[in-house]
Amino acid sequence: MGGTDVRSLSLLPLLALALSFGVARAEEEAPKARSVVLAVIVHPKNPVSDISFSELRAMLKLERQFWPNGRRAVLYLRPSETDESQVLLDRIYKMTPEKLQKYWVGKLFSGEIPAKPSYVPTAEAAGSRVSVQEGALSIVLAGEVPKDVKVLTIDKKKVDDKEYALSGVIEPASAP
Amino acid sequence: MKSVLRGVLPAPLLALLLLAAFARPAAAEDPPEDWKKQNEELEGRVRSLEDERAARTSADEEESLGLGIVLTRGKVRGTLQIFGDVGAQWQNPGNPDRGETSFFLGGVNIFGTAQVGDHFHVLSETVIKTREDSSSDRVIFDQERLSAAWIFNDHLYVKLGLDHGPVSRWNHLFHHGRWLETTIDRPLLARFETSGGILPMHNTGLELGGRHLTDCGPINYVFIVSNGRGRSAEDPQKISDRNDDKALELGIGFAPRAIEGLHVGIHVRYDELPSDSSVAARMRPIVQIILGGHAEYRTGPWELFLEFVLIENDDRTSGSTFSHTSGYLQAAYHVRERWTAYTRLDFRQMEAGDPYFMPLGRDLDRWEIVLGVRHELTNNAALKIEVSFGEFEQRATGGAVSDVWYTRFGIQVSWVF
Repeated sequence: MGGTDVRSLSLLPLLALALSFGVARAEEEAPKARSVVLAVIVHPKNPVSDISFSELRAMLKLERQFWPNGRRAVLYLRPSETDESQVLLDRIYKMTPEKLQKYWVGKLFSGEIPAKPSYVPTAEAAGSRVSVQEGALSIVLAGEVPKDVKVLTIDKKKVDDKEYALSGVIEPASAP
Repeated sequence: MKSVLRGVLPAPLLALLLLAAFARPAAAEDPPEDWKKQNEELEGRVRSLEDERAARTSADEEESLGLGIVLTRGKVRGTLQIFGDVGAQWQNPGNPDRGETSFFLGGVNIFGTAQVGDHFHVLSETVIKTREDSSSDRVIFDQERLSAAWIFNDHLYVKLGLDHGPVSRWNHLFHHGRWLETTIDRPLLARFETSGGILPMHNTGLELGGRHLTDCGPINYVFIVSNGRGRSAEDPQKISDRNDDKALELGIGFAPRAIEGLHVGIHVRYDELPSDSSVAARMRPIVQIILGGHAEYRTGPWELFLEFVLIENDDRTSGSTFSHTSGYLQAAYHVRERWTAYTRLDFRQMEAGDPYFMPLGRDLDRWEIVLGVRHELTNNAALKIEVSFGEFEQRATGGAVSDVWYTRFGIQVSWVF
């Protein structure tokens, strides 16, 4: 009987180790909220280098459709399941993806916009459009800025500045 | 013999393998410079083509969710959308010479736009719909909008053609697209000219407008010179004008940044309605002035619309002025992701005897309360179920006016693709 107790006690550290390993694994696997910083990219010849947050919001909602040089702003957005889109829906559009689609249909139907924005699947694809179209504007992850584009500052703040406006937190429930 | 062959045959193979083993590293270590360059160029080109293909596929997929077909060819970007609706209703009492229960075709709305370059924009809206007459129902084509616009910048555009004016916010937002409307039917003041409406919904003319962004929010403005209304409230004078007095219309709207989702606006319209020498009461023109305003609030689960208009008809034949008012308040709440509950209080207070509205029976009062739910069947189709009740005035053949209470139950499926 006493021998059995000793064997049981000797198993305790192993059990604790196994439990701690399990907890650690569970912690590793549990989805966590993550910070996302977005960059505003335009054609290198675009005369604008800095944009205020309210101007950016107006451009992304197509309330403002022209750049100061007279070129039409052409939007290239990311699909709704991407981090970029989630942050924009939360910070700029303040609506669900379905409502955003309806918003574009309504704008087009009332003649307020001549065309709906296009969607691009990757930051590289956004870059390939923005780098060849002078009025193009897109939003990509700050860590995925493609080559041959210009990154705008927002309210004079760069993407790595603390008070940079275009960032957000993706909650686990809303993460893709 | 066999053993000799077994020993000799692998020898050339071994030699080849040794040669290949030594030759390959030598080639890899020192490729010609132009090969390297060509290889890099080709890799870059493949990446670019893959990106382009991926971008094209994604754009097509996203835009083909059912909310329009988009085609880009060179500098032309075209959009095609088709709206449609069908339904059924029960109404007590039924309309004259009609049963209480009926199924109905709403219409098919073919809407197209094209953006050509940065500044030129054309738009067309054609509706195929049914029209009732005493003996049968007819299917008709109606060109509801057709315009060409030059957009100079955000502050100024010039548009020529047939379009909907700012006289009703509802009309400006939803036009003939039933799917866009939360409810089955339009409010009384936003009904079209041929559907019992009292306002001029269509303008054929020249429109100047634009938008100015301020720190407080965007301000939009529009000024229209158009043919104006014809002799009858049903005649929008789409292709000609019976007099040289043009209708003038001005609208201003504002969306304050402080209250996200709010839009308010006012408008004024002046028109001289042509005389009709074949009718004794219409020997001289009628001067019509319309004043109106709206507040729209759409944010989160809430959707609120409030509109009000005042119509003053100054009849130069009788010397009398007739004043009419109409308005509605509609509230909708998105209960769950795909469900919306709504209600609307709607009224029309008319001054009887107005020679412009009286021949069509539109100088009579009416009010209505609507309760309903809307369910999004898919991203591009909606089912609406509603009950409404109210009261309208009815004029008998002898001229006596009486009140009629009514109840209506309606169901509609509307879509866009």
